[in-house]
Formats: sequence, structure tokens, C-alpha cells
Amino acid sequence: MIYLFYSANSFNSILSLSEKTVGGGSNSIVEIADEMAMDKVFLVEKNPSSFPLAFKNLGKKLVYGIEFIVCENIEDKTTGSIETQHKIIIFSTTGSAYNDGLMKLYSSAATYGDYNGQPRLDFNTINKNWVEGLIILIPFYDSFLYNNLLLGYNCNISLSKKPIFCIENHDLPYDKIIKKKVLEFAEQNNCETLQTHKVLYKRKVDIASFQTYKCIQNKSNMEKPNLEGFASNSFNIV
Amino acid sequence: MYKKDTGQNLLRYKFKDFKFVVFDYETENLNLCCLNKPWELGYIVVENGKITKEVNDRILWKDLNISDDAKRITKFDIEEYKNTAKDPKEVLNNFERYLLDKDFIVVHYNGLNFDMYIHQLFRKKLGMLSDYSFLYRSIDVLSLCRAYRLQYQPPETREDFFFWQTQLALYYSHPKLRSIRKKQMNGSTTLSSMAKELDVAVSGDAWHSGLYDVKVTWEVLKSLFWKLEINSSHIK
Repeated sequence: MIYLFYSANSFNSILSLSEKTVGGGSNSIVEIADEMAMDKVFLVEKNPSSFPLAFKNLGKKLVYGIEFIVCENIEDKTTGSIETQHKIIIFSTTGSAYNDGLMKLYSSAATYGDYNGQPRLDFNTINKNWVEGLIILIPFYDSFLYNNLLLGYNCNISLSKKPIFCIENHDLPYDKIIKKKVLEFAEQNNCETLQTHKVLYKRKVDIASFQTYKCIQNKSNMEKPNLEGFASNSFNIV
Repeated sequence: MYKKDTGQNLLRYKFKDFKFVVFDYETENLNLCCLNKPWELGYIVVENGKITKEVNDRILWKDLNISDDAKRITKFDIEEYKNTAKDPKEVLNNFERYLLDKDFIVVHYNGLNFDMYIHQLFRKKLGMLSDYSFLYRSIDVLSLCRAYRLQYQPPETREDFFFWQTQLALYYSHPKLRSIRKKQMNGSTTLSSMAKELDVAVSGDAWHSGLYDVKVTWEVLKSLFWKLEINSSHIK
């Protein structure tokens, strides 16, 4: 099982990258990794702004990844292109993969791929900027399979970089159905699968704090959070 | 490629061969994850095309905490609640005799976005694990109403029909597509507006009472059997 940590730096979670948890504030990923004696910490961000802090506090334990939105063609700026969007995670496993690969990909996404402030990539750009040491993970939620099946999108994927497919279980209604589809697709296309667990907060009871945080971002409230499908408290680690 | 049904399997002719349970929860608020629980459950059981059971159970909680919005919308009356509410375990067990019975088709209005999650909150509140086993034999009438508005016909297979309903349930999920899609929908698809549009009549007008809403949902579904080519292989 691989834990995929999302940090508050990308407004994804209520977990910080500080050395220690301060008072009753955000739980520190660094501290959690120490408590659980982790050799590696897989950190997934939406942009690379947290890298200096993460590297400073996690050092060689850090495996840094960025979750990208991929569409069919980054030059297509029409609303219709949204229906080709899905998520992938690209991890850099070496320093040069981070500098020469991941950073170039993020720069392309944030400049050429920008769509209303949203960085996007396509597989053409990924293939052009690919370097050794990068790995593509297909997240369990919001992947091309997930979006095609549950949202009726028309997303495509390139298998040339041998992506690894994540399998998760968060006791959500479509988990079993999606798992079946992921396993079928991976088997048919000779791709690896990996049991992963997305971590957004430390303990189950932290769900209320996490939801409050999402409501603040969303300008909603706990009585009417407007968070579609937000129905699991299992994105915890302990 | 969609193939037109030859007729003999269409639910408009065959629905009497199936058993249905139509349900609706009234809740403290609209949270799907925590700090919420159902306080009323309405359901009807339909066998041989006829309603054989009508239930409108209030669920007794000592820590009931209904939001002001929910009180207003459902015309919640605390005295009536106190006098009629039943033991939660009893309410759940009675309902799950139908919900978890594989012979029943489970019908709801917006259940794929709301009621199925609320059912799990109910179970968790009673210390039980979640159980989504009824999901695959569900009909979300809201999805069918959206299909009717958009002039979509259902796909051929049962699996495709299931995902098709989900896609219609999540039709507005992307914020940037919402306004375009709302225009395409051409009007509201709330239960009351669809009932009016489809000329469905149920005596009384107790909108947002569990039992009244499920009766209307059932009538809307029956009307949609004639508008959409839903056949028995879509649900069995």
C-alpha cells in the first residue's frame, strides 16, 4: 500500500509540510512520516510551490509528484475541451527528472496549456518533454476511466509511458465498479496496478475540519456544503 | 448503436411483472458526509403494478438538529415529530427488508446524488457498515427526467443504462459546464415541475413530505415509461 499525501500548499488537504504540528493546527506530514517510520513519502501537489519546503523537511524520503489535468489538445480552449479532461499524477524519482522533466511539464501546462487559470497538459506535450525518472500514475478518482464512465466524458490516454493504475477503497458507492473497470483495463493493456490510499487528513475525526476547510474555499457551509459525492471519512491515515 | 426495442420488453407494458420500492429521506441538512441524519423516511412498495404498502416513518433521535432551511422546506413540527417518531433500528430494519432484497427495483428522485448517501449515514449512525448493494438495481427518476428533457433514449445494455443514469445524475458536476448545460436542459427538473409538465396527479400537495414525494416519483416514473424506451433488460 502506497500512501499518497496531498498537502494544504495546493489547497487540497489540511496537512502541512512543517517540521512539526503546531498547537491544534494542521497535522504535519513530516511528523506523520516519522511516527509511521516511512522510508518514502509520496507527495502529490497541484503545483510545485511546496517543493523547497517539502525537500527541506523530508530530504531523501521525498518522492515528489504533481497532479495534472490532461486534455485532448492544450490548444483547444473551447468549453467542449472540458469533456476531454482527466487527471494524472507525474512523479519525479530523481533530481534531474524533477528539474528537466517535471518542471518543464508544469511550465508548459501553466503557459501554453493555461485554460482560464487552470494549467493543463496533453499527451503530445508529455511525450515531447519526457525524461528518464518520471513515472505516470493514474489516480483512482477523476481518471479518464472514471470520467468516461461516470460523467460521460470522452477522455483518451496514451499508454506509451507505461502508466501505473491506482486502486483505492474509500467506501464510496462507485468504488467497486470503478475498481473492476480499472483492473479490466490494466489487464487488457498490460499495465501495472498499485494499491494506493489518498491522504487528506490525519484521523477520521478530522473529516469535520477538512470539510469546513472545503466549505470556506467553496463559499458554502456545513449544512449545504455543495460538495458532490463528498461522502467518505476514510481519506485519513491513522 | 442504439437499437429500438421491438416492444414486448418495454417496461410500459411489463412493469407489473416487477417489484419496486420507491423511497425518499427528509434530513437535518444537505451534508452527505457527517453532521447529518435522516429524520423521516417515506416509501411505497409496488407489486403487480399496485401500491401494496405505504410507509411514512419518523425516526427518533435524541440529538436531532434540523437546520432552519430544512425545517422551513419540510414544514417540520416538533410536537408531531415527538409524538410519532419511532425507534431508528426498527425503521431501518423494516425498510431494508425491501431495499436489500434483490427482487426489488429501487426507485428514488435524485437518490444517486443524495438519498443513497443518506442511507449510509443512517446505517453508520446505528453502528453498521455502509451497504451500496442496491445501487446497481436503482432507477433515479431525476436522471430519467433529464434524459426526457434532453431527448435522450437509454442505451442498450444494463451496465450502460446504469452509467447513463449516473452521467445524468452528475450532469451539472463541472462548474464551468453548468450554465451551458442548464440552458440545454431548458427549465427546472425538480419533482414538482416535472410532475406538472408530465401532468401527473397525486391527491394533496404535501411537497417534501417523504410519502407524498415518493407517490409523485412513482407516478412520474410510470409516465416516463411511455416517454422513454426503458425495457426489462435495463433493470434485470
